[in-house]
Amino acid sequence: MLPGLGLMAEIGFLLDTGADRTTLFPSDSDSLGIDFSKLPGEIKQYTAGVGGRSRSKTLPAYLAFTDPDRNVYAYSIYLSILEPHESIDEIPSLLGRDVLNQWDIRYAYPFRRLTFSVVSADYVYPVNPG
Amino acid sequence: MDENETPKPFNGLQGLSKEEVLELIGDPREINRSLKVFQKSTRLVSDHYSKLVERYPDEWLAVYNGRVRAHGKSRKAVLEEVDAKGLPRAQTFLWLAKTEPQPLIE
Repeated sequence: MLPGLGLMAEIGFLLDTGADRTTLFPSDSDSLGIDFSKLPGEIKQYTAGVGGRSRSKTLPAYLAFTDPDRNVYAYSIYLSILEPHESIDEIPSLLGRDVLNQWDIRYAYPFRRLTFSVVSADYVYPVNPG
Repeated sequence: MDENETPKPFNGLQGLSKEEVLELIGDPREINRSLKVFQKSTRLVSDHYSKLVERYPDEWLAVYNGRVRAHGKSRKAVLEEVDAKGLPRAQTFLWLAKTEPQPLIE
């Protein structure tokens, strides 16, 4: 959820423990009709292993995840949005440590399984209150 | 300040109450339902990754409600098809079926 843009969307993230911050890549921002040139805020240089050096803007956002039928966990973050560029056109958006640091993550590649336990969240909402 | 350092919190959204955030993100039951629908699409890709790459080599796929609804070499063209079919972009999972995945870090 990007309150500043009035935009709510579902995003498939690539989990990246090497990313300081959750980042929206053009593969998603473009399809959601986000025009980088019209975003508010100053342009910064984004540096990462994934994406190399790109220009970015940072917007407040809320990310929500579900433990299906139990809880919705919401996080208040600063979302980096990258300027479209051919070299990063095919890279998925990254879920970074601003969120991952609040989870217990188990990576079991032999079983093709990645599991998360929420240790903390900014906001927790039961799916079926009461 | 390091260029990747998190900026100082100031955006008018910090410190919102639980109720105020709920107003922004909406009904938890609807989020739960919507993410379940989206999960059908991401699960289709993760469960049938190899088959999809074989069937749609190096194409962009638009997956909605667990079904491939549009595909093509150009993301723009696929998105136009998504629009033409009246599918919601914000709930459509867009995925590139790369035959040789791009190295993310070399």
